[in-house]
Amino acid sequence: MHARILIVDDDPSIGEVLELFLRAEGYDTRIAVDGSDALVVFDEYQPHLVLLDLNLPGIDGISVCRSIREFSGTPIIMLTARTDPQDIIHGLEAGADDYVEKPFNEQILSARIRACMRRPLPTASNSLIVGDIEIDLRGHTVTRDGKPISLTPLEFELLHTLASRPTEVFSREALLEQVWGYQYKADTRLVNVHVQRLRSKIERDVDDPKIVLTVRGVGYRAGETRSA
Amino acid sequence: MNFVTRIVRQAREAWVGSLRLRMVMVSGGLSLVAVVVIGGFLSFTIERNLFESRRNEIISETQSVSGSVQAQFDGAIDAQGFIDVESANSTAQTTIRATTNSPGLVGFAILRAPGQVTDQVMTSTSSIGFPMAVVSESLRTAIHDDRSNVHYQSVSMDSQSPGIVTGTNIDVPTSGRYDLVLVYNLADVQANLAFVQSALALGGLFLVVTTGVIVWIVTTRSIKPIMTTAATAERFADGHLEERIGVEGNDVSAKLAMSFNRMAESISGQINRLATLSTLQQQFVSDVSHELRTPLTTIKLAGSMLFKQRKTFDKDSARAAELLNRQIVTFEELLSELIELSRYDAGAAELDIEPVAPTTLAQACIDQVADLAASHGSAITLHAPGGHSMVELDTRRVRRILQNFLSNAIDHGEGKPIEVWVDSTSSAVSFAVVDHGIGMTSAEAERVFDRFWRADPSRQRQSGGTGLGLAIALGYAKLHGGTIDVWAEPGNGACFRLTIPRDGATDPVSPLSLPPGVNADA
Repeated sequence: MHARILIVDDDPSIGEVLELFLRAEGYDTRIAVDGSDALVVFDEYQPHLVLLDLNLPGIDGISVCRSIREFSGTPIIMLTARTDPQDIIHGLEAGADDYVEKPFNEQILSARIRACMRRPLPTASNSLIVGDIEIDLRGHTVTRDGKPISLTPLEFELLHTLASRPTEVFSREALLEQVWGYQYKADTRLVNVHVQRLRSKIERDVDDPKIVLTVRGVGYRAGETRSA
Repeated sequence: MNFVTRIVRQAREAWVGSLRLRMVMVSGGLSLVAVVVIGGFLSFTIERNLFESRRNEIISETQSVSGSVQAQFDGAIDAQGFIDVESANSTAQTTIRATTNSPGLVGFAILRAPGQVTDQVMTSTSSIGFPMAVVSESLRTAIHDDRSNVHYQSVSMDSQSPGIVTGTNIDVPTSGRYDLVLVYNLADVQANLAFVQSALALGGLFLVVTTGVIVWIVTTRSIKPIMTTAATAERFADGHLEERIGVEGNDVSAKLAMSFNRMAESISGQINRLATLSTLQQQFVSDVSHELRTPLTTIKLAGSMLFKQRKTFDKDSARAAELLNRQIVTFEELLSELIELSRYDAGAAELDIEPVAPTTLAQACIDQVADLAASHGSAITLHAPGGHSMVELDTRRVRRILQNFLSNAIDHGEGKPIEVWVDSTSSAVSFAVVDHGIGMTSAEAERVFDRFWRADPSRQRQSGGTGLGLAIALGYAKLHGGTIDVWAEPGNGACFRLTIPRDGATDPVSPLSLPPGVNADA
């Protein structure tokens, strides 16, 4: 079975050429041309990944992203022709996993798609405990005091990566490589925004984080960790 | 000495720097001269009048006293022609005391004129405490030479106050000629004069000070419009184009204000027009760049699909696909640099600061282009006298600048070694890239930051490059508050040096010389 990718772009020629390219890469694709269409198609198509143009007529890309995130952790890659840094930050904050700027290189796009859909890290133990958070690696769930916390696959991956090597400080570049699958072109804002999102879900006090700690000038590391 | 020079310098600065001070000093000085001249003249006239009137009074008193005394002696002769000179003398003294009423009489004396032989001799007498010392020989000689008049002489008394000595001849029957000498002290006249003089001096001083104050006030009032205009012009120059001066009345200062306002109006109008034009142009470039991205995405994807399948095409079509693909890459580079520049022009670019070790950053950039450099035959070496500790930089942008320096150095280095220098001080961090290739003339070096400017078109086209790289690099440097300096010599290579201030230092000195290593190694 082919992995399904939903392409959301109001420019039909981009949609079509993306479809040509992705089919050649072995994916199954559907196209949506505006925001409301995207949500409808998402429901019935249940894609494994969404390529989402931010500049859409009607409901804009950021709202679509936020709506999808309300009920699904499906990886979302933003396609953006706007290069205002604020747009990218807004998109990431709305829950997008990654972004590519138009005009993108098809190899980079396909690398990002693969990174977003790849298998989780192989693990030795079944679960990890960071602070008062328990990570169930098999069931891909995170709980505090038995209550589940909903994370997107990317956020789960980020937490898992940090917790798997508790003594290590991860630079933003290292996290980009391990979690996002970047080989080069480091945009460390991706890490910053997603760490903020993750903290807002798992920390009791975002201003005094206990689970994901900042090491100034270096990067991030997990809080007090032990194997369960 | 130093202190004195400083005082002199400060005074000079105050003099040159303040119109009001100059005006006050000049008018104060001139009125002081006037006061001294007028006061001196007044004082002199008053002094003369005071003394003359007093002298005349004393002379006429002496005259009347001598008349009475002479009459006294003449009347003392009895019928036998005999005279008791001593008793006549004592009567004469009483008469003198009774007839003098002028203030300041110190004493009197009746002195025998020397060199006479007479029937009898009357003893010279004088009042108690008579200051014999002030009676000069010359006065007495004058009395003898001219016996009919009263003679006088100005003298200085013991107490340093002025005095006047009068004398006249008296003929004492049977005893010969005697000098009647009166001594007056003029201390009261002197005191009056001193009072008048001090009043004059005080009045003069008051006049000078008043003049200074008046000139200060008048100058302040009359330069107020100039000060207002200057302050407004200053604010105007600082970019407050809406600054205007309030116009009151119809005098010359109102004219100044109106002229200034008209000028300001015209300038701000021009600036606004240009700014609007410039904004429109920037907006246009930005819009065009963004609008081009969407079709370029399609073109690029389609082009690269064609390129991948070119082996299945006939020879000409395959070549066309190759050309298409290569030009799409160039087009995309150009577009992304245009967007970068238009973002900088629009002031939308913001620094994304993080701590990084400059040497690490430089090494990463070198690693990235090492293969390219090797293919041109250039070896890149890193010299880092400093820059090992963390500095707050926008890593992405500094990396872009260094990559631009490096690719230029590789393009124009003619396969000769390339050096990268890194150093830092507490106020600045500096990166420099030096090549030993074809170099540039100084005229060319001045233009390297111009957009789309190429040193040698035919050469540049071969090695690619959009012609915007250094313009963007300079924009990025300025965004950091820094700058880029260029050194170049034809045939000897070129050096581009980036200097970025640390911790908000202004106008820092670059830790690296230009080109680096020249001073350090010499």
